[in-house]
Amino acid sequence: MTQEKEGWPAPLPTIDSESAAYWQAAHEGYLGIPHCKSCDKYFFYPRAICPFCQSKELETARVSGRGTIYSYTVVRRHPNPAFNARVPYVIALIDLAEGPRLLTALRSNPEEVKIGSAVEAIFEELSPQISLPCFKLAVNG
Amino acid sequence: MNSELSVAIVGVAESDLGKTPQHTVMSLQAQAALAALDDAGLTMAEVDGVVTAGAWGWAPSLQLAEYLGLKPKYIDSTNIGGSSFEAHVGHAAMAIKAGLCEVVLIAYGSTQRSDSSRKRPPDANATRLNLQYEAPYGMPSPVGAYALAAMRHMHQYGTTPEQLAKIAVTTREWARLNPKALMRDPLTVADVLKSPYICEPLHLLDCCLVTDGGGALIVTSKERARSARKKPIWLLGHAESTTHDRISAMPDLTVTPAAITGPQALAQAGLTLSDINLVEIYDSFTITVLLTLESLGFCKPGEGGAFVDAHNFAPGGDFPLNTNGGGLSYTHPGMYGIFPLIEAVRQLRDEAGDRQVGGASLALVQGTGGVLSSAATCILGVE
Repeated sequence: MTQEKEGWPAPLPTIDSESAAYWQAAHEGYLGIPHCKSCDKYFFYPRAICPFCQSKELETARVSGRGTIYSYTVVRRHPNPAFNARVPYVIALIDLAEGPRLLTALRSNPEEVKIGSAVEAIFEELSPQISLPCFKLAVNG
Repeated sequence: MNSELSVAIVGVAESDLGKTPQHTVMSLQAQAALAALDDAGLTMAEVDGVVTAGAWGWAPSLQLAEYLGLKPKYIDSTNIGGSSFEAHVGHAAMAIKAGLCEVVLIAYGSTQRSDSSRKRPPDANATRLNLQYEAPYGMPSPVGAYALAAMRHMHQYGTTPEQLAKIAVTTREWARLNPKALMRDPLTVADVLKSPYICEPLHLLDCCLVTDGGGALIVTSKERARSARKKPIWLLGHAESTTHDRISAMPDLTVTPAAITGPQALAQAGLTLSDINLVEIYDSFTITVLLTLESLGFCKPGEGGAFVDAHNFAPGGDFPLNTNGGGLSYTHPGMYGIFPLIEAVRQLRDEAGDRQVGGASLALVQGTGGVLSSAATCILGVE
């Protein structure tokens, strides 16, 4: 059959010079996001300058991995067969305790997911080199 | 109204729509361009500005100018998603006012429906730069992003699936009056709610169509517009903006950048919302329409659901909306933004046939692109 029918693998991130520290942190099992030493704000995603004050005085900060659900959707259909085989699953926007918002997969029962619920980071190995930050409902949420 | 009448849309046309395996993106645009020029009473030789957008070429305006045999004085391939064409009208107007050119062709074509049955390699750019933080999760885009916005709006304001479904239903009522619309069967709220979920809370029938098709607009100067074949439709105000690219960077999932562009374009035209008597809003999803109505200021933040209940958007109703049947029921070839402009021009010319809105003289056309990422507003009017 066609390549399309067989599908293609779930995509891996194309890691670059700006994102390497973030992905390295994830591979080591923690969430490492940019922190601006000049204005003391955290932000996501990593970049060469602070989006709030344009400072280049940045560091990768190890953050708590805790946050709350800002919104979510239960995916019921995906054009990529690699993802479609996993439906239903939850994609969520998480507001981290440190401030920034990021998009992630929430590895919890879709029926238990609610906006505002507390979540915590977990890490899934995508390849021997790359781990993906995901989240689950917090045990003591 | 304090806007000077200096630039007008004088020609509009669609290409073949629906499923068009006999066409390429280029032949769709050529077909629409010739029809729009005929509508304007102009010829291809008079075109000195070429504007288009699409993901089909590395520099689409160059590809289109070459294909049409043109050496234009003004070119623009601005791509801000589906709202590109509302932005293009503004760019064309600025170029004409600056004296760079006189007759601008704005065109669009897509064969996305026919392409979906062809082999396509994965897009390497889909995992690069800011997309590397999204692509590995299996976020279906754009529908997943709009679902996140819908879920947030429901949580924050109590908006219901029925209120969203009602938008699909009234839009279908308009499509039933449009011979060119793809979906013309009657539709009920129950039909929408029982269609399968794509991404909760959005059902299949909350989503736009996937079609082939194209369109074209001819924009020209005041002097040229005076000798056009039909009544010129004047550009009275224009604005464009963006608040984010990816949905995770959208400051508030219930407020679109139309909150910036709507007031700015109206102010430029010297008008307020209460002057507007025709509204064409990009309807990629039902939630897009509800959020845009709020962001434009037709109702207060959070009151979009109540607004849907209080007004009738269907033919004969008090708030005619998306009178061609929209991206939800008429056509949606990837980027839809050129089509609400075509419809607004036809309505303002009083040539919309069975779906003509009586007394339409001032239109607001609102484009939305990406994942609620960009907005562009055009205020159009008759003299």
